[in-house]
Amino acid sequence: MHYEAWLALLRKLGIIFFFYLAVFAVLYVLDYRPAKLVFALSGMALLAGALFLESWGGLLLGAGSTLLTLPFIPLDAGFYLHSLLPVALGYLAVGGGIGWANRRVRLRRESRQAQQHSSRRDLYRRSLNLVQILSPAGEVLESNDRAKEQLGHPRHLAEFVHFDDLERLREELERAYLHGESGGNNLRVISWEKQALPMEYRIVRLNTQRLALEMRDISERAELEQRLCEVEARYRYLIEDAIDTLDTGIMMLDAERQVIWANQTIGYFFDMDRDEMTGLEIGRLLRGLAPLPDDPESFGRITQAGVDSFVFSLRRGGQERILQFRSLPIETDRYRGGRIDHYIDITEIKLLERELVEKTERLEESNRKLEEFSHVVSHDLKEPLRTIEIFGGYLLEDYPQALGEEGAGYLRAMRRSAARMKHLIDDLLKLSSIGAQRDLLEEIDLSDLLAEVRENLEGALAQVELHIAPDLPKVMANRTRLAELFSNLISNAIKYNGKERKLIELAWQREAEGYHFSVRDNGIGIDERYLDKIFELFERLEPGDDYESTGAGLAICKRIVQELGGRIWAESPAGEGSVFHFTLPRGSYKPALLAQRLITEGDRV
Amino acid sequence: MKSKKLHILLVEDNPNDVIITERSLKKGQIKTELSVARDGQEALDFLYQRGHFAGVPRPDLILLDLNLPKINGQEVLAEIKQDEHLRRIPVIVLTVSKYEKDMVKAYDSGAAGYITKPPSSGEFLKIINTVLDYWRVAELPPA
Repeated sequence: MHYEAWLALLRKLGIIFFFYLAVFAVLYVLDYRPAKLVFALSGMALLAGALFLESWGGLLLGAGSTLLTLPFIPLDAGFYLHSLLPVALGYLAVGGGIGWANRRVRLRRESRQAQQHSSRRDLYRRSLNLVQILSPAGEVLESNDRAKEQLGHPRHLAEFVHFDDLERLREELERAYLHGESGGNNLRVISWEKQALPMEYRIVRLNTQRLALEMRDISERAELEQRLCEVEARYRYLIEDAIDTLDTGIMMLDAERQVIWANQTIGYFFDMDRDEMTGLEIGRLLRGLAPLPDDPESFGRITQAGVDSFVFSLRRGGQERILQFRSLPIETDRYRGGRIDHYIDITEIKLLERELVEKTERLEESNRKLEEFSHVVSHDLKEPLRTIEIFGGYLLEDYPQALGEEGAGYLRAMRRSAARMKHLIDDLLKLSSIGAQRDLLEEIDLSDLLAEVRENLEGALAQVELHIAPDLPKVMANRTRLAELFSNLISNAIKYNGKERKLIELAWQREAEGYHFSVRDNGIGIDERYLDKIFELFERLEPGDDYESTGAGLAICKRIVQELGGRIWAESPAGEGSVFHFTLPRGSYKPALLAQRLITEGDRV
Repeated sequence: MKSKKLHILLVEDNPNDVIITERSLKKGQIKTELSVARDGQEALDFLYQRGHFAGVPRPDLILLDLNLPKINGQEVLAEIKQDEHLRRIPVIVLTVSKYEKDMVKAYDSGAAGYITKPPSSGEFLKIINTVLDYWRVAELPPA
């Protein structure tokens, strides 16, 4: 236990003992025993002296009064020695101790209070705030250092408070007087340098005569606030301006889904002044606008927060706009609530999409018609030719005598022409059908494909050395078409070669744009002037008695390669035969090419 | 039996093809009697012996072009295969079409064979012998 607590306990014990003796004193009065009464009274006096007089004098008074009882007690000396004297001494010791303790407690308390008082005073005097002690009437009774420094030595409020604020301050003073405390902001006071200073202030009633007025200079803070406002305004304008000029409609909603702010684009979309929207619940706002999705579910999706996107259309000035809606909930670590809605006008995109769909449909329709047409042509155009060929054959077979050698010759020429025309029609059909129908693309191992091509050309390859590069790559293409491409190029290389030892070499290499293939022969070569022309339709450089050669072969090759997104060209180093090059893209058929094809076909149709 | 003249119904709209068929049969030295129907309707009238075809005998073989006016070959074939009396007559489909799906369709509908035009005498010979064998077996009294 603390020292002071012991002291306090001792003091309490002294008080208890005092009252204990007082009880005894009453008892002795009732049962008149003068000696004991005096004894008790003297003890009380002793304790009272110790507690209240806090002096040895008190103790002595107590001891003396004890001794005074002696003549009233008719007892022998032994009694004094054995009983009274030790008791008196005990009184003395107890009373002294208690008196001492009491004194210590009091002194300590007093010193503490004194200290507190002086530090309070110090605080008051040296406070950074301006403190004045006022009378209820507004007279300045005291000022602290700071107040003196700024305001000088005014005698009354009216001398330093701005005239406009004086009445207000008086009211506040009155309020503080009645309720104990009051305060406020932006009190303008005039410094002794005649400068107006904004103050924050508080008034506290000290007692009925005195009120303390404490003021804090907030001119710096006010300045900071002012600057902050400026900066905020500047950035707000910057951001709002930036958001206003966006094509995207942006709207900020609070947790109750009410519009806090909307950019100009929103106003344009909804055909509404944006200030009108502020405070409106979004559901009501949207419902108030033109036709919205009828089904409540999707409408709910619009008005609820979420990052879902949603497309809905809005009739605005008689014109339908298609808006895409997207919503981002506002969620930070510290705050959650409300959301930011984005509306993007995708009308143009949708129109384009629709147009594209329509165009594609038209293209598909025209493709279908083209295919029908091709079928009809193949059937109806070839039919008469077939008849000419067959009946010519019958004539030759059945009437050789009647025709004679010359007539038979004419007839054979006729049949050859008919056959040639049939081939021409076949090739034309083939050429127009490349890409016209949706060619099935698959992954083709070219090594396998070339093995097939070699097998099919077996007869023609009898006296040809055909070298095919090993490890040919795999490509995405239509199998039949690709076989035709290789087969055509190889057949050409055989056909236009008069040499006894015919050499054909198929090579390939990997390049940035894809695969590069080349078919080289040691044939007659091609005149430089015709290198481009040979890929045109029905272009033959050699006068062909061979009626099977229609001149469409290379045109077909070109179509096939172009369809696959590659290119084809020829070169012919003088006297060294010719080389046909073509490229095929790596990987899959590019969708861009499909689109391009649709467009070019659209033009063609 | 072999000396019996085979009665063939040729359903063909193209007169040239009729001539070609006649010549091929003639060249193959095949003794046949050839009736010609120019469209699907006529073919069915002939088979059901309706109108001015009343009383004509039923053919032993039908050569059917698929591409016909009025009622096309496919429909004629289906009709024949539905009729209890006609279904036994073998039908050979004649066409220029080389599409595999047409061929498969013809077989699915019950065609006995398939010839692409122009047919040769050899092809006819083969078919006619097969049909003769077929009738020989079909006409045997039940054992």
